[in-house]
Amino acid sequence: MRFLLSAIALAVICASFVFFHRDASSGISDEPLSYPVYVWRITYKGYLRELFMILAILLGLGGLTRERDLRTAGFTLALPVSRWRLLATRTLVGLGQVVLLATLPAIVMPLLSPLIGQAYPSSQAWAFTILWATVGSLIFAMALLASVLFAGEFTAPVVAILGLAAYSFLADMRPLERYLTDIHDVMSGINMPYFAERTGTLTGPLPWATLFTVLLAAAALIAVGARITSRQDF
Amino acid sequence: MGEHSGIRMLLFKAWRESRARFFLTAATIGALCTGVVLFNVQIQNNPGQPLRGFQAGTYTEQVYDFIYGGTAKGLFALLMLFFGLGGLLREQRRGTAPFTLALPVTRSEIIVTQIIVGVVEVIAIAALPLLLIPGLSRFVGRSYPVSESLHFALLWLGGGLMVFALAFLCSVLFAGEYTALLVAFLGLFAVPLAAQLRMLQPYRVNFLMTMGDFGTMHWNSEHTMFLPSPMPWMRLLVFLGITVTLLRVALGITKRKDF
Repeated sequence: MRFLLSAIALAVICASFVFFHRDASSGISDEPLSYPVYVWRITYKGYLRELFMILAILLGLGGLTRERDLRTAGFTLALPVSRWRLLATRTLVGLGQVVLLATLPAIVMPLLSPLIGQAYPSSQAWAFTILWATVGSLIFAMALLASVLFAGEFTAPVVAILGLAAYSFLADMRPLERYLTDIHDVMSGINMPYFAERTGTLTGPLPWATLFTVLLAAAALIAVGARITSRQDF
Repeated sequence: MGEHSGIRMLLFKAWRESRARFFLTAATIGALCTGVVLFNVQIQNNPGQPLRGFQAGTYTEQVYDFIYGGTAKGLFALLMLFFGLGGLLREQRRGTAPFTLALPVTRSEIIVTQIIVGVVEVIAIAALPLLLIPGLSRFVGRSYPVSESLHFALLWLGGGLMVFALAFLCSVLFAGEYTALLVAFLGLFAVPLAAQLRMLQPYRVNFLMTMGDFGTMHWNSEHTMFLPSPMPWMRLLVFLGITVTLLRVALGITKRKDF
């Protein structure tokens, strides 16, 4: 349900960005913007990026700790599968959903743009999808860990949102900025060597080392969550 | 059991259910306000590129950019959604709704007490910068006008109550776990997006901008204070009207619902 609603919302918003691009373009800038710059500013740098991050958090919530609160954990734990497999399955499904959400702008934008006489390169859109899907996996992992640690229905999302905000804040502070990459900037390309803000396009090779580190961090958070779950008393 | 003790008990129940969210939010907004004021000099003196929100030259502008018009305002609006969530549908999912409904109080009293606690919590969080920023500024040899903090406290309260009411209505309409939260999030995001439509641009429907007085801030004649424009009372009245309407709809639906 969460995934379907999220996917519909993202697709509808992307489509409206295309069809209302003249209105929205004048709303975000006083100067006329080229179409790729407009798409980048409104989609990959703007509201949609923030929305995607929050949707990734919402997809990471749930699990056995929530089930304990709802008193259904006993039934789930009685199934003939290990706790590790329960968490692994939930993680795989969640990550798949995050990746699918990240692909939506790449499908909708290049597909609908010709209908209004514009064009947005698929290569650009898919490159952003890789950035979004990777960072989205880390955010999903943060939410998953929060949902393992906090049983309250709304405590886990609040903690995950605050954790994300705290990370962004710390990543901007010296001397930490040297060691922490701002994941918002990785997603949008701002101040990154692989992105040209003037044209709104990704110009260099993707930051594979950074993306690998982000995935490693996501895997570490999920591993911590799995370890805690395996020792938890339900 | 007297009528008053029943209401007191419901108020206590609503507070117990929401206090973790409240304390987390209060700690966050409080920490942001305290940090900006007490560590302002250190942040400014740090070499290299300034922190986001600290590019401005004067203290009042930095406080505005980071708290009233920036990060803190965005977080405040987002976290207000959580204050409106909960209610009888959530209890139905947990299997506790029959116990609550069996209490010797009316459904209206159950809902109204939840609203009262939520509204008081929103007021408390909106007032936090007012309580912290002008007072703490004196400790670091700076000054921040109480009138300006009060101005933004009222704007945050107006916007915060509207977000609270939106989430409250969603929690009455959608039973699925996190569905109400998701729909409320989408509703919150839809407003700034819709505000970019040309036909809506003159009405400045983006209440997040109104909460931060975006586009109407100006300098005093000495260019030392970054000041807000006069309070947009009419806009606040509209916010209040929308809030009351959303809450009344939620109350009406809950009264008729079968649990």
